[in-house]
Order: sequence, then C-alpha cells, then structure tokens
Amino acid sequence: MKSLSPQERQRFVDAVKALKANTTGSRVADNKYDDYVLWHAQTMAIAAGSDATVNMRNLAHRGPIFLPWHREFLRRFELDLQKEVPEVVLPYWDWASDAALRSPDPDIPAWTLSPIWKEDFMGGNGDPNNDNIVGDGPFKDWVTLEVDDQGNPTLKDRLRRDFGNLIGTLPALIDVYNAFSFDFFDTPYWDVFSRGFSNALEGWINGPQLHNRVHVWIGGSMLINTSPNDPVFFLNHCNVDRIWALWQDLRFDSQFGYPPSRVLDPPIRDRNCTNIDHYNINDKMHPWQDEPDSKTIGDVLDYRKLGIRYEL
Amino acid sequence: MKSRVYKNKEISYSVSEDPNYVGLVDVEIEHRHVHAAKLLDGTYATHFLPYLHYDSIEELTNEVIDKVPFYRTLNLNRR
Repeated sequence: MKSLSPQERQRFVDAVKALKANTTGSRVADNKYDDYVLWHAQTMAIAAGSDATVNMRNLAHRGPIFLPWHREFLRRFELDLQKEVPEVVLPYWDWASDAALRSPDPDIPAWTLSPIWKEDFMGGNGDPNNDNIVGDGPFKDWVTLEVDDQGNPTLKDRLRRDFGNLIGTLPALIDVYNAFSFDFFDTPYWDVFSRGFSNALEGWINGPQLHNRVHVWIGGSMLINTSPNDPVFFLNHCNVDRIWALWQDLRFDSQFGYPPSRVLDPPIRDRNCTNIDHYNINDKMHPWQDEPDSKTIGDVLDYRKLGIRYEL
Repeated sequence: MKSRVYKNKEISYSVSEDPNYVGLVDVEIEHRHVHAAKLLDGTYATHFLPYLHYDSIEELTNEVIDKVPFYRTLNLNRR
C-alpha cells in the first residue's frame, strides 16, 4: 500500500464505505460489507472433522483451508469493491516492513511513521481514554457488527484498536523467512499442531506469529471472531496471500503445494481417520458452496489464474 | 461446575480433573454458552478469540469478558 497514490488510497476508502452503505445487494447481513463480517464469524464457528473439538479446527482456519479460504474471501471482497468504485484495487500491508520502523523520538510510537495509519487511510490507534475506540481517520464513526453465542448478528459496536498492548511487536522479516524454510504446505493431522508453511504463516508455530500476531498486535476489533469489521483486516490478509503467492512461486508443484486427493495420497483425514469435508482440493468452500460461481479449493490455488498480481 | 465473578459477570465452567483430557470445556458467562476447548498442548481456545491460546480457563474467560462485545455487554445494568 506504500506505493498507492493519494487518489488510490481515497478510492479504496470510498469503495469500503460504499460497500458498507450498500443495503440493497447484501446476502446475509444488513449491508454488503457486513456480509463479510458474518461469513467470517459464522464459518469460524463450524467445526471441521470429527476431532475438531480437540483442536478447534474450523472451515476457514486452523488447518490447510486457511490460505485458500481467505484468498477466495479477498477475491470476492475486491470484486464487490469494484462494483462500487471501478478500478479500485485491494492493497497489501507489508507489516514486516513496518516492524523495522524506528522512531527518532521515544515519545512518538514507531507505528505513527507508517502510511497505513495516517488520517487519510486507516486512521490510527484507539483512544485509551475512550475504551480504545478509534477516534480519527475515515473510519472514526465506523459501526461494527457483533455476533452472539450462536453466531447471530445481535448488536452494534464501535471500531476499536489497542496497538501493541497484548504483544509488543509486529512480525519481522526474519519471521517471514522462517516460514519460507518449510518446503511443504501442511502435514497430518492438519490442525494447529502440524508443521508446514500453512501453519507457520497462519501463525501457530512458535505463535502468535505472522498472521495471528498482526491481529493480536492491533487488538480491539481485530482480536475477535468478527475481525473483518476493521478494514485493515483485508490489508493484512492481502499481505498474507502475497506471502503465500511468493512461496508458491518458489516451491510450487502441480498442486501448488496443497495436499492432493489421489489413490496414493488419500483425502485429508483427521486423527480419527475421518474425511474432513470442505478441506479437500476438489471440495467447494463454505459458505459459498451452493452459489453458481462457487469455487473449489483447487480453483483458487493458482493466483495468476484468478487475475491476482502483486507488486513487490 | 465451578463458578466465580469477574467484572460483575458470573462465570461457570467445568474442567476435567484428568490432566490429559482434551476436548470441549463447559463454559458459561451469565448463563450464555462460550464455545471453548482444551487443546492437545494443554492450552485453551475459543473461536471468539481465535488468534490466541490461553494457559487457563480463567484467563480465557476474563479475556472474553474484556474483549468480546456480546459478553462484555451482558447484564450491564445489573448491580
């Protein structure tokens, strides 16, 4: 996002706000932006596999589905943004670069040097004297959608951030390199305890790392299951997807790293040897599986075929 | 079930005495269910706070009340 012009930054902000204001085309929530909040929170609440209670694996996280599911999530989000503001693009936030920022004044936090948190883009930290509610930038009056214990949308809240309170630093470039040291995507039993690039990038190995660490460092609305409420969610995940794309370019095979489903390589099974539905390469992803344009996991592995390009 | 109060909210939970137990943990805050589990490494997790694991069920439930709007706002008017 550092290469975005002021006009491009404004276009992104405008598109996000337009999506939030679009109440006619929404699918599951009151507006099209909040569709993404609900899809995320509700998919996260669906256990994946018969042993899922042991490891809390769900249909979007904590297993090999994590990267493909969020690539599809971002693809849909960007297409919806472009229906509101043509030519808008979803930018990535290179948080490892920001981790290296050093403030010349100890009274000025280093994050203030990053363009992402400027008044014309994402706005800054929450106000510690006002329950960590974000009080500046385009999203200072942003109303969030929150869910109850059943995943139902039951109340509204305010956008909150609490930079560095639970964990002091963003992930660094060395942490990205450490993830790249894995030359395999994931391993049995396909949960947070397995080794591989997917779990390293999601952030479970020596965690919280990489993706998880960004959520925890920002805190507030980004710390919980409705984290897409904060528009910065999408910039974080765009960077996660970029890192996956880089890894695929370095390591890919015919399956682009994802475990295949063949006679010699059986479908992904959990510790109880039960097939994990919505996890195999030819499975359609929840909650879009019944839609005409629904994608299988295999459909989204080759990022170039989806028209995705990342500037380095 | 054990119970305690944190920030004026009643927390009830039941954790197996078996140190090797893994699986779902019964947790309620103000009589509303909190989906939580004990994991293979002995930590606790809930999808309401999906990016962290917690060393104890007490730590997890406190954090749910502090951070998750639905639970934070339960029974706000109770004295």
